[in-house]
Amino acid sequence: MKTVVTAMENKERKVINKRDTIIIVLIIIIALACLFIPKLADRGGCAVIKCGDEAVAEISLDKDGDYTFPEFEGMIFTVADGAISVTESSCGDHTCMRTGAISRSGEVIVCVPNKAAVTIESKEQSDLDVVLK
Amino acid sequence: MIGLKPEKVSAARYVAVMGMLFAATAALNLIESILSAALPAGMRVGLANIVIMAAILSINLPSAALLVILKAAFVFLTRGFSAGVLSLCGGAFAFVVTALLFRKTNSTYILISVLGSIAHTLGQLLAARVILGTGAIFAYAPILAVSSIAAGVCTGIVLKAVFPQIERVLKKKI
Repeated sequence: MKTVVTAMENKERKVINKRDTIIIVLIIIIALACLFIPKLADRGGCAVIKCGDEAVAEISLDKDGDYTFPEFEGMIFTVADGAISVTESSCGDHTCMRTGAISRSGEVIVCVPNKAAVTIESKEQSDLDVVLK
Repeated sequence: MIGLKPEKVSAARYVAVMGMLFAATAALNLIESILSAALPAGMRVGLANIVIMAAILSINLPSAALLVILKAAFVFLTRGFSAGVLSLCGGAFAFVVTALLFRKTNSTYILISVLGSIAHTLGQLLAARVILGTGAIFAYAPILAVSSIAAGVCTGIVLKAVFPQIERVLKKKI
């Protein structure tokens, strides 16, 4: 009876031990390092909005305002105080809206249902507020 | 479905226990949707995965795999296509990792649960990468890894407390 054998094995299994604590602590250190390194990045100059792999627009973070694009029906992108956020979305769970505002290179907002991704790029040379692609 | 059941467990009992476990997965999933509204974007505790790990431990692997598929189907119906695909990919990754660790190693409950949780996140990120068509989503990996660890510690502790009870119900003589 196989299930009983499993149960016997599981009786000897511990909830936690020293070896596994060390492994978990190491994973936490690595993850925290990966988490805080991007925070040191410079504040980016513009946000690139992508639909799938194609760039839809580049928005300068200097000018506040709301933006909508025909590719993303029901989504509103808002620039305020040098950061961009998704303030309105037609998707179900609003993960994109709850991500909040991003402003540093390497940060990203993603909306999987709408196939939208917002990334921050370093300052472009142009003086334009929005570049549509 | 009867082909999945372990010997020495009656068909009726097996169906009843599986129905109960699936109901638990669905209920925990809904509770989690409410809980995750209070958490930063994309984070979930993975309460439903406790049930799947318990099934790996106290029933058998095919039954646990069936629960993973049923859970994804439930998510698909309640939260839509992309959430369903993410659930299936995450669930499949977590299932493979936890099943291997439980069967082949003497790792502790918390470690297995933490690694399962990280595998779940990884599976979801890969699925999201395919749906989105861009790697931008991997910027979420570090923060999700940290939350996966916290979630894994919680689910590991609950799992240890809960799975013997499921085992008891499965084998109890009336």
